[in-house]
Amino acid sequence: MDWRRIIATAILAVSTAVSAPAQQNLCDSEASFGRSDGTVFGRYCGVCHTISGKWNRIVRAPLGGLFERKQLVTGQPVNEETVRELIAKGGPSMMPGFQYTLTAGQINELVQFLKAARCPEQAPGSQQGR
Amino acid sequence: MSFRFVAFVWWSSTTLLALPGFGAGTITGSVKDAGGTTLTGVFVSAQHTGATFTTTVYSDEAGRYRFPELTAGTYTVTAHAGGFQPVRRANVAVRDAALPMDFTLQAETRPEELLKQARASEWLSSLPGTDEQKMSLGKNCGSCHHNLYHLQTVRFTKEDWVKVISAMEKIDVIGEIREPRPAYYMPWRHGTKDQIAEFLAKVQGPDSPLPNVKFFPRASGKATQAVITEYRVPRSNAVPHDVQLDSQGNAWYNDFKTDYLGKINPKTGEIKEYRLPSKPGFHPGSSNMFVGDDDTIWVNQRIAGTLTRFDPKTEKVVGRWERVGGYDRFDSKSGIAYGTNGQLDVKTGMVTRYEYKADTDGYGTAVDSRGFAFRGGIADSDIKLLNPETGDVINLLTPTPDSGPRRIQLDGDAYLWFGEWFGGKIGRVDIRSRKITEYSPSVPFAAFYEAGTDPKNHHGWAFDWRSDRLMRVDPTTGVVTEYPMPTRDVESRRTAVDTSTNPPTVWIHGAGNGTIIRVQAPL
Repeated sequence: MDWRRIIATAILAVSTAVSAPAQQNLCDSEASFGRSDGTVFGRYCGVCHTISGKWNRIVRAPLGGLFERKQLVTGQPVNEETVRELIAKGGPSMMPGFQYTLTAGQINELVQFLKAARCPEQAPGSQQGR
Repeated sequence: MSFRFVAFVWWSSTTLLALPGFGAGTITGSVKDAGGTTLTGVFVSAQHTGATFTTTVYSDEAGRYRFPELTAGTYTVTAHAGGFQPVRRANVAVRDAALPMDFTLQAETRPEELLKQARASEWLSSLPGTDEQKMSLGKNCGSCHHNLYHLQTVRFTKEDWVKVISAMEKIDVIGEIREPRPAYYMPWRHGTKDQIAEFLAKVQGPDSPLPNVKFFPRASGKATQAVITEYRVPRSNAVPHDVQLDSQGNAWYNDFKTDYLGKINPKTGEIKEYRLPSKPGFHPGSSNMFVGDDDTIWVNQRIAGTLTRFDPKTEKVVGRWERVGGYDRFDSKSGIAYGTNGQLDVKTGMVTRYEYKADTDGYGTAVDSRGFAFRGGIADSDIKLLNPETGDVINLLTPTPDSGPRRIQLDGDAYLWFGEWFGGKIGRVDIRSRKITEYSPSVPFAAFYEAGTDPKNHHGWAFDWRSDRLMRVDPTTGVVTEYPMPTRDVESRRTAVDTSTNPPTVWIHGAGNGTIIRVQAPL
């Protein structure tokens, strides 16, 4: 498996807004590295990640459809608990842990956002969403 | 040519009310602290309900403030300054008279609120550690394009800070990976990667206390007479990269992260935006832009490598070229665009490249009316004078070592102003004598991306990213006048001066906070 895909599978983020219009806006604005919006994802995660995978970031694979994947970069299965732990503790290579930056509530919001995060072209089951 | 033309107008009720015949008034009063002491240099900001812009004045040496003429209507008025709790008055009705409004500001003592008020260099100054350690953050972490504010919002262990810095090394200013390394990659300054991570873990680690923020002196003296208008770009994601003026006094801006081009009409407050063509598969953001002598707008989409010419009269793209390089001025009579490295004939699309006898590496570019070219040597700490005819290159080293001249601007053919990104000074070159003079701000850790010029009064203007202060230099007296901006995280890369007004109107842009800013400052 492509290492970038593995890393991407590991990382996360996003904010509280999960409505379809909000996601459309987020995916449209991903070109704005580090300043994509006022969401937790935009502020803390968008530096390295995108939902769309459209831009040539540190992690190139998209985060859209994360929970449809089989495993994280850590080798663990993808579920709320493992994703929450990865955000808090960081990944095995480049991702730092956000346990001292984000509150438990913010991390939970990110997990919930990632469960739904998907760009319009990333229909469930599509290749790009994987 | 496939050109997506999407224009929308930010046409507020305030815009209509700004037209003659709708009445006008003002607001005036005093600003004091809780002990009754008058306060100088406090921002007092007024925003008309639904307006595209906010008007700000400072309290003067007597603690008094007065707005210029305000369109009649309902306003929100806020008095604010570092170290004090802001006081906000909503639903303020302005009619045909001067409305009195006094403010008493209570001291802000909550560390987390004080941190939100602190400008980047105030934060740096308040941190524990040596100046070398603090400069290592300013000149490495802040060397690309963010202004250190993000550092204040994250906390990591040293090991994780190393990860973060390692990631930052690989990407360029728009966040994309560049192999083998980003353009304008610079060597570490004032510390190694490991030392920087260690310092960050000390000041932004898991248990680091919030700093005891110390604020710099506010605006004083003549500076308090300035009027600042902040136009909010009508997109939540706006990152204006430049601001330039056409012959009618309209302010044009591009966007570093998207394909937008915008125009502000300061007479009406109208903001109109257009979308430039994008190149599929390439980042749409643009960097350098300039206005031709025929008022056409020239925009360089940096990653896509395209140059676009936009005609404001027809509101259409009238020229688009790929991989032709960057240009700084356009002469409509000859139909030639002039750059530091060549010429572009807009009718034929032919590019004539210059050949120089020596290295011309630099960041900022400028071309004078004779075709001589200039570059700000950010890596070499020099200003390069280039003669396209002879190929000669003259290197003028700055008096300050490792000064990092970045963007530059000509005052006619006689003087050149430049901002020192690493040296923290504003410089001026007397082109004939080749003498460089540097001017220092009052605040530490300054970083000037560029310096502009008022060619009528021969003053220099430059913006310090770290303190959010616009500065005017009078080279005849050497006096530097500082104008703190009301909203933090401005990050202006361009200063454009309209000398048709009295006093001259100075425009900068807020890449960090999504604004275009007009400053009217009496001489």
